[in-house]
Amino acid sequence: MKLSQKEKQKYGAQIAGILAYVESLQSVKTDRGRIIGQIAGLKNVWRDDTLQWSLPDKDILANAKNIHSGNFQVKAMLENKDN
Amino acid sequence: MELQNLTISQIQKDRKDGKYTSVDLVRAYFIRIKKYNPRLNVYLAMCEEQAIRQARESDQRFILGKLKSQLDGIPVAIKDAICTQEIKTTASSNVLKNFIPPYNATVVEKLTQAGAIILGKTNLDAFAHGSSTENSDFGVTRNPWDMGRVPGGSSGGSAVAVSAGLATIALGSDTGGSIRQPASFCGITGFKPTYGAVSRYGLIAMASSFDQIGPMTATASDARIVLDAIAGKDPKDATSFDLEEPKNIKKNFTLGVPKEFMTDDVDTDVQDTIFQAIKILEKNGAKVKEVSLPHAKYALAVYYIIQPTEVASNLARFCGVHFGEAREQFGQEARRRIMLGSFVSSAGYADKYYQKAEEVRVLVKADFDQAFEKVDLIVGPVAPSPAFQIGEKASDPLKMYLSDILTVPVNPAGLPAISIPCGTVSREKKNLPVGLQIIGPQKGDYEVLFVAEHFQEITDFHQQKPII
Repeated sequence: MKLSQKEKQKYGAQIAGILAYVESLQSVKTDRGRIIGQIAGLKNVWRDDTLQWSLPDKDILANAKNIHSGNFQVKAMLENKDN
Repeated sequence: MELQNLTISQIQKDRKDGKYTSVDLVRAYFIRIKKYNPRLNVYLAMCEEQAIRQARESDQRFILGKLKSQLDGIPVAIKDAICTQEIKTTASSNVLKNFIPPYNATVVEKLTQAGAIILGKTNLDAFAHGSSTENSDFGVTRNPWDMGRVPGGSSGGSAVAVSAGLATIALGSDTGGSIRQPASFCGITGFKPTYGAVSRYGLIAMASSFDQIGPMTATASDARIVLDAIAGKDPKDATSFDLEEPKNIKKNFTLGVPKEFMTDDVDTDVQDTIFQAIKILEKNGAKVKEVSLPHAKYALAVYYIIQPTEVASNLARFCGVHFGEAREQFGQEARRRIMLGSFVSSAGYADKYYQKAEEVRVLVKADFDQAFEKVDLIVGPVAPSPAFQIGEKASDPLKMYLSDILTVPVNPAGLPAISIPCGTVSREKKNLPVGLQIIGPQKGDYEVLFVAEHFQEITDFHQQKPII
């Protein structure tokens, strides 16, 4: 995301304010470095490894701005120097 | 036709008595929507033709005695963060202003299969980032109790749809209070289920470990009917499970009031209104105890580290290639959260911020677990104040975040919670609604709904509606 100098100042100040607020957590005594998975008590959720159909190609491409031969077209990342 | 206090059971009765058909009802809603939507700005998209067609089909089923469910023929408004097939879904953001989903969210599929009729898509804070609906890229939604005030957020549009009689029921989503707080500000019932009880497939993701879709309705009874229709394990959402309705629910509950929720930060008259509501429950058989949630004061900090981190990750998919506009179209709040979230999870800072927040999250949940050993449910206010003025907090993000202080402890702990109307307070000569929050242990959804329904049997605060 490109930000102007003015935006950098504005967001910088706002984010600094939010970070100052969350500093309060530093004073809480916790089990440091403990690996937290999730709190919902979920364990391994499996499904059978069988083929499942998704959407037809035309639906998947329907909202894309640039399509080429039935594929999403992206900006080039490598220049072609051989032309 | 009095549309402002309609409930599912009232519609079923009126239909049996031949007062009107589903087509009549849908037409009446659209007349009312077209009249009030320009001022209230509830609906971003309306599905009149499709709705009348669905209503006609429902009426045919009714004549044949073959209604699909209690929701057959019931008009519903859907928060625009939830994907509806072939109906524009924008998350109230310019990034998705032209997005037409090729699929239905699971909850929409379930409601459609149940025969419910989608009236349209409602306004929200863009990407659900906000507590007032002021962050919508398509204008704020106004609170029908006082048009100069916010409806709350992020599900402000859905809350007003029900409050102003522009839909019978609505769906919202809640990540840090986005169903409960607008329900409180608009005088309706809003329920956030236990994390995982309702599938998030098709919900435009905000913070994936907090998000839940839930009903916004005129009554807790209606919320229960909607929950029954939308809940359940979904193979497309690996975090979902089947919520079981308990066979027996005890009659007299022990309610805990956290002392940390009733401090000077909450307006005095809001506290009084909450205490009166708790007294009513006590007079009718509930036992009331004080409990303590010592880490609740850190919950907002926990939330505003973990949530932006998950937001930054989830918003990375909006690259403009598969769908959507360029990332430059993100509004201020989305940008703030992407920056904040990227920072607190980055190398060199993740341990201090993100890891620490997750560790405190465990303590916030543990406080609730300990409280639930002494009490069945926890009660308290939803918000420190009634609906605030449009523009009052918009320029100070931290001030806006602080208005969530009573709802955010619930989501990191994955608990079910409801907001039900329990009275009004006066601000500048306007009566503004106040919501009572009831929080349950994980999977205690039906216990929460039971007490809410019981409260609505012995009081009539939920029947008070704004005059538009």
